[in-house]
Amino acid sequence: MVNGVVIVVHSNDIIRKGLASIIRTIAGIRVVEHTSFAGLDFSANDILGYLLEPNMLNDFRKLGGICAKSKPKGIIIYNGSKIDGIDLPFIETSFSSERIIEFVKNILSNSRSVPDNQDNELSSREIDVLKCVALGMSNKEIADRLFISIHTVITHRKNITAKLGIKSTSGLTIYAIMEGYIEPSSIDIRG
Amino acid sequence: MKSIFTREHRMADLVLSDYNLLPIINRFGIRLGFRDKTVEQICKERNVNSEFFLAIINTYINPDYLPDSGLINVPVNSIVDYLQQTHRYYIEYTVPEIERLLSLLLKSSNTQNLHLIEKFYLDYKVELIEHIQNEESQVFPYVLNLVNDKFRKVNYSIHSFEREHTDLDEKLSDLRNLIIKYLEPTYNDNFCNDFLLALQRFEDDLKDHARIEDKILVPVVAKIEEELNG
Repeated sequence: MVNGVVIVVHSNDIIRKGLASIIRTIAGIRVVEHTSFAGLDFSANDILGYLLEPNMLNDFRKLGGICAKSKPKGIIIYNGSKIDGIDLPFIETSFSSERIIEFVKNILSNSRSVPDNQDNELSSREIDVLKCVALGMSNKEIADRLFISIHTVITHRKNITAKLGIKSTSGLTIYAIMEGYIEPSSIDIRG
Repeated sequence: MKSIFTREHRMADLVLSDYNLLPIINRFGIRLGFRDKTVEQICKERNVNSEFFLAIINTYINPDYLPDSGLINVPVNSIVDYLQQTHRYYIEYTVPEIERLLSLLLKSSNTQNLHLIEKFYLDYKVELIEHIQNEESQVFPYVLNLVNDKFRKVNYSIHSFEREHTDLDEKLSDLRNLIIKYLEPTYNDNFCNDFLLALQRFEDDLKDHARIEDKILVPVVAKIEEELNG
């Protein structure tokens, strides 16, 4: 079954609290409520999906909610009824609690992630991390060098691997040289 | 799931279903010229345990296939022998063949990226050979000792031989990815295709090899350890 966080973002208290209390009954799912995107960390890696108000969708895309970083399994829109032109699952007002639970479970247990519209280009921070990895630094050393936590380093590494499809340190090193991020002379390629 | 082969199937049909089975069959000392003989008949002629043979074939065809517990009766010597034959095949055939194809590819295009790929491969090969040597010099002798000399006091367990296979086939997949995504297109197509196909076959074979160790060797040996200690 699924495990992780579902983020419910809705400005209307009654709707948000109502949806949250229904989804909370699903085993393994934690629900976090927000009235807006302020203060929301899209890159947290246990995010399973989002439940949004329809007019928030543009901001959501702009803020990087759908990106390789977070790879949510599902984005669901709450609205009185389905809106044409938005190709995402909708929860409608007429749905019963049982139907909402089934609906959410179904979407979140789907192993396919939401396809991201962005390409797999590395962010500048990811490139910083990649360079350090290629130079043979440990996670701890990378964290110290870039003033970030080890947890963040690990998250970046996961995202780099997801984007590039390269898992091993030596593979990442070769990639970093091929793409000109580091000089061939600066490393010992084994690792 | 693809079909599961049984003793009654004709050996020729088995090979016709997937030519990748040929090197695997060879590891049992079985060679072509089957006429219409069944798996059971051929195994008997070559003195091969047909239950073990079928377990290996079926695991290869269906990665999810799990031989039932009856396999516990397969002689450990046969399992080790098969794994050693596989190692020999890698060292005597697969690795030199991949290198031959890689050198053809390198001759066709002399770019930095290709040299980096060569470097990655050569480092990988060192690791692969170390891994094989570790199994040949540590793991297999331990296992054989255990079955041949049951009165020995057992101080450690098969589970302590944590395999690094995952890492090994992961690196092969990295290699494929690097070539497919980042090679400058100045190479000879046919050489590159052959090289990639050989890598792919090797990766599949290695994964199968790891499954046999995890799903067949380790449980069988763990059971013997349990009996000796219990």
